[in-house]
Amino acid sequence: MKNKNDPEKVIEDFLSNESASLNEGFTESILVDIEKLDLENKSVSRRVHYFIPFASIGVAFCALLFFIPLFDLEVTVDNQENVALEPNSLPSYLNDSEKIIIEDLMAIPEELNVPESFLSEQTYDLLVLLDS
Amino acid sequence: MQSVPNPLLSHGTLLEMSENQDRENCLLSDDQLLMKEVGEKCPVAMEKIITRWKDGLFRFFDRSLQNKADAEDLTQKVFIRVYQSASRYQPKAKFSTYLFTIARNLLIDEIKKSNRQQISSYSDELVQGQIVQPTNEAQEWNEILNFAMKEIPEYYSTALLLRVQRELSYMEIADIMKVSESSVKTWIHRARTHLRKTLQEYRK
Repeated sequence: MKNKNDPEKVIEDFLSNESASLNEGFTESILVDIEKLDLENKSVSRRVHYFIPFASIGVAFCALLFFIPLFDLEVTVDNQENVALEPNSLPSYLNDSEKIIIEDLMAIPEELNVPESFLSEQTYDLLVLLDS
Repeated sequence: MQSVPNPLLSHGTLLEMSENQDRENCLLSDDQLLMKEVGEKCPVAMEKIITRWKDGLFRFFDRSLQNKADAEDLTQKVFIRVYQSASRYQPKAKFSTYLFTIARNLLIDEIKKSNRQQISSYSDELVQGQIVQPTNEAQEWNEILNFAMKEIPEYYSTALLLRVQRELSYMEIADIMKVSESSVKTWIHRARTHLRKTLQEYRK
């Protein structure tokens, strides 16, 4: 049997810490905390349910705000594509007469690109004249 | 041809399911069954778990932190975490392994958070009057061992306390601490040696 003063016994007793214990009200206090926690969670989930419609409307609104500038941008890009070529932007190896023809062609309104517009023989004549 | 649900078959299936459930429940320990009930928000089951484990956890934290108030706080936090995660609890390992894994994680957090000061030696603090002069030999040994525990790393003391207080196997301790069994054996041996040495030094 181990002596009370034996170092091994002293260490074992110290580590076991048998004398330490919690007070009587500890269990109750945790159960109260848990109950509070449950109530909080319930109220949070209720609040979340309450905010779902508002949140979806908000998200939809944000999405709308996000996409509107993109539509604007597309329109701007289209407009830029339709702008006629500047005379300076034509290649330098073209003659002046060729440049003029190209400029005239670029200046023709877009409606003329529709095939129906070229059905008239007079229009073809005009283009041949311009080309000569 | 239209298939008609067979009431006998469905009854049989139900019986089989119930038998499987019973078999599964037989394999579970009391604590694991209680945890299933806690997962279904049963306060009585939670009370039983607290009553069963509170002192064990408190003793573990008390020896690890040498502070009763902190030990009580951490014990409380463990149970709250157990309650919160009960619905996700899977009885894969022993309940004690699960419980002390939570306890150890909280202990590490607490040590990091409090950034405990580097301790001076027992005799230094005694001279400086930072600790009360022990009135008897047993009290003095306790103080010396408290200091010795502060000097060893957290993983040494945790392994040693789980071994002595909970009488867990090396394998279980290794599971809790997520290390190999041989590391656990080494840490426990070193921790014991340190405590023994410190005690012998002061007793001379």
